[in-house]
Amino acid sequence: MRLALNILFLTVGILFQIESFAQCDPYFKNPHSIRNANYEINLQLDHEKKKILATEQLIWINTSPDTLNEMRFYMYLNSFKNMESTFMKSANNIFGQDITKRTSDTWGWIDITKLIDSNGSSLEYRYIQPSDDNTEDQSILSVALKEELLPNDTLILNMNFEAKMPKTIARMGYAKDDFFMFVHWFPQACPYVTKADGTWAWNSHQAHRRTEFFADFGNYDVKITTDKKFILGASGCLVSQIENSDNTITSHYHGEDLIDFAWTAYPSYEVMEDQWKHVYIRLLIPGEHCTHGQRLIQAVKNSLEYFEKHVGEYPYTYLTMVDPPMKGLRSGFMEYPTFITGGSFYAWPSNIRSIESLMIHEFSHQYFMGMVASNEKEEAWLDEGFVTFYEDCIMEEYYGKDQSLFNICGYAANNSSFTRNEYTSLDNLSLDIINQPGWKSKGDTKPIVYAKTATMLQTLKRLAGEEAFDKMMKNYFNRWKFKHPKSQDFYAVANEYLTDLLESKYGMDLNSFLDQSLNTTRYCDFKVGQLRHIPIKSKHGWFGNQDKIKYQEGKKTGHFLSKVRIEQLGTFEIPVEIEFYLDNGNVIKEIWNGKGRSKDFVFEGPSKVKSVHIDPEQKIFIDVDLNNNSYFSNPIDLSIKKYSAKAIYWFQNALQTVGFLF
Amino acid sequence: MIKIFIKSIKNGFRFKMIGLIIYTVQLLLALTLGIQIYQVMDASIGNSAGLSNLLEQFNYTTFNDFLNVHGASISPIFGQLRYLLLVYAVFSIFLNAGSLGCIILNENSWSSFWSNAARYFFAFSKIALFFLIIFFFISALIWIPILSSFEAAMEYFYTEKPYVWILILAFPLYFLLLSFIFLWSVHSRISIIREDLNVIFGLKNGLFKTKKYFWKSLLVLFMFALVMFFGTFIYLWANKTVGMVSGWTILIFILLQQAIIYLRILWRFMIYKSIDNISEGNHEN
Ligand SMILES: [Zn+2]
Repeated sequence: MRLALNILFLTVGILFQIESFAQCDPYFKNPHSIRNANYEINLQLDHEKKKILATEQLIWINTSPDTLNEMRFYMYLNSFKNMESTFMKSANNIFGQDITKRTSDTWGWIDITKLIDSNGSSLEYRYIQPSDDNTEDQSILSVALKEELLPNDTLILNMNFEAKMPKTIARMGYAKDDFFMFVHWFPQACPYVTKADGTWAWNSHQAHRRTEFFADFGNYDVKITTDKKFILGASGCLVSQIENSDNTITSHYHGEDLIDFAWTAYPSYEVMEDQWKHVYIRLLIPGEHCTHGQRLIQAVKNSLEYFEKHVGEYPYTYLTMVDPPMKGLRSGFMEYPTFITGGSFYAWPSNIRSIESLMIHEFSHQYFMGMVASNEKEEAWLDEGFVTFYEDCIMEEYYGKDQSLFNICGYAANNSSFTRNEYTSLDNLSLDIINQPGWKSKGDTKPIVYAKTATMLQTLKRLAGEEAFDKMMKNYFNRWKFKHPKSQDFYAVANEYLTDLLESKYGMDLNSFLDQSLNTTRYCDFKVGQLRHIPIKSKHGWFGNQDKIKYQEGKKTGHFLSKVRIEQLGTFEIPVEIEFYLDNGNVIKEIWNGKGRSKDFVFEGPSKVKSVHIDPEQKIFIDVDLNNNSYFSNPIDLSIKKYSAKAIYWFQNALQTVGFLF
Repeated sequence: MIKIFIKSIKNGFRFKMIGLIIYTVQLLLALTLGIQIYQVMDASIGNSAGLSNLLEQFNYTTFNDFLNVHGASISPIFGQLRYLLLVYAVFSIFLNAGSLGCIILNENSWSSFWSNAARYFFAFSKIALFFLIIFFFISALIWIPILSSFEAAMEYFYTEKPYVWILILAFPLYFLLLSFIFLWSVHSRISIIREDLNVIFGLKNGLFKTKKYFWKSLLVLFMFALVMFFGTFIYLWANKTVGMVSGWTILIFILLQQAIIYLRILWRFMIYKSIDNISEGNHEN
């Protein structure tokens, strides 16, 4: 019986393997990227010691015109080696976790035990600190090459390394019951790229609390050997799985045109699979979250569809989504190429769609970070801002314009409004600019780099119209996918597609708009100032000369002079549309070029100005107070009555409750 | 039990004039804040088109722009609410003394309301203080360990599921304990009124009666809670399906809200009456 069962399981297992392997193909016919950093890694996980032992071969091409005698590696895992690392010094609290109380076994590090070049010569290496003078920081490794590396030459390095995982911290590590999330877990080549001035240099920033990653494109071939009990998920696609005699299993993953490789292992993952066109979707989710697994998968399918329609095709045939168990939540909400992590909770309510929203956010990073691989460390807005913008667009397209994010008993919010409010609710709107490296910001980066950028893009989309905006983004994506664009590259594409349109539509200067939004702390706040009606009387007094002189009594003509003052309370300069509604039902449309602090509009005629609406379609979404953009001279105060009555009712209820207690 | 429930409802309505005193006091206090809300909204966004967004349904942007820009005018009102609740807490001891005195002694006039209020105020203040301490003690006992052990629970359990269930089950337990101290408090006060006991003996007698009639009283409390839930449900349902979206509906809802508040006061009288009936069922009709 037991034998029969074993045979049955084996058959099912083989069938399952064949089926799952058939679902993704990691090999592209033609390379999408320059593929100058390629890795072959063979590793063994010792889950008891929370350690991996690995061999790594790096094949790296010098794409610069410079001759190099040094190679640099990210060793970001060493951020969690002690309290002296630059990462740890830049924060003593990560996601509410007090890291000062760590015990000896909960730290993590990475160490190279052997390093040789293609001639077999062993190479010298040392830790360097290009970002600061913190000699204790070991997040960047410099390897002295024995032979000079000429332009277009290929460097082959072979190494052995050991990595100890920390207890979950900042998106990586282990948690109880053998949960593992591996990110920044191997020595990864730093890119040697152009600086803003066009010269070439290592881009090797030390690990910092406020920045993520920037790396070269290449192929990853990773063989992971673990205990058989583990369910794995990784960047790339599973090509084969071989059971070993020592109760372990070796899983072979391959991914092409990726900038990084992350993976996870946990014995209690449930696997949910789905297919969207050519994309095999695999969700790893703990059993207790399975009830909303389908929600997460649908969110990603919606994203795939939206991106294909509005930005460009997802070229990979695979995507792994991870919903970490609660004990490993600190490893969630992060993006790696073809591998994204979200986060949820048992019995998550269906009317709060933050779990979908976050998954969509991480998926959007496949486009902005994964493919359009801008430098997150130096110009985070190019990925985080764009991603937040698309997260909002997708949520509103598929989950409702007014209530995409949540609807709790009628109190609802859509994503773009929620995002905008993250920015507009700042105490100091002018603390930071968008376009600066994370380590330079004085305050929280989320409201500015994520939210203000997304609101700026939302403004641009509304001003240009969806069609023109999409055209611009499609071209930006096509031109810069599998490359490393900088801010100027986005400006160039935006200029190419939108400058004339915005100029002809509103007399608007796109460069000025981008510059003010991204590089200054200016804010925009239009306001309807004074609205005055002055009755016009006929001529009053003596008119004419000598015998023709005549006294005329000034009489009411029934005409009025309506004076409206439009103000800009901030210092942002942008043209704006204004509608003036008259008593007789006529509407006068004007555009103010937005220069200066205010502009008066004067209308004369038998009808008074009844109401004024600045930017009636709310295109300038970046305006920090939309309530003062309109003015009714005879407002209906029903809403005020409604909310005052509600307030009185709830005050009475509060009094009742107090009365009940005593 | 149903008999006591129905009898208490009838009896509660008999004290409608006394209920009116409490209602008026509460309305005046709530109005002082409500009028300020009206004034702040009128002065800040009173002329804005944003207001029409708020009439048919809630609008996140209008609401938050209002809070972001005019929050400084709104927050003092909520600051006042805190003090108001504190002052009212003391005053409600007085009002409850008056109403409970009348209900138990079956005196249904404004003059006896005021004289009972004055007569029992000090004794009931001591009782309120005693139960306030117990209330905080019970709340701390239940919620501090549960809320502070989230991290530890994640380390201890395999998933967050047990923690969620502990959290869910803590609510009935908490309400059970609160019901117990509420019944104890009412029984003690009734004892003081009925048997002219001092506070210590009142509490002792109250505890004895609470224990003796606990499940019976709890059932009646539960029935009244159901009435309240039903009322709240109807209100929320009406709010959702009709809503305060026009001049007429706003007027109708204001009347409905005030009716609910007034009925909530009588509802409390009914609860007092039923608790009294359970323990002293034979004293009166
Ligand atoms: Zn992001």
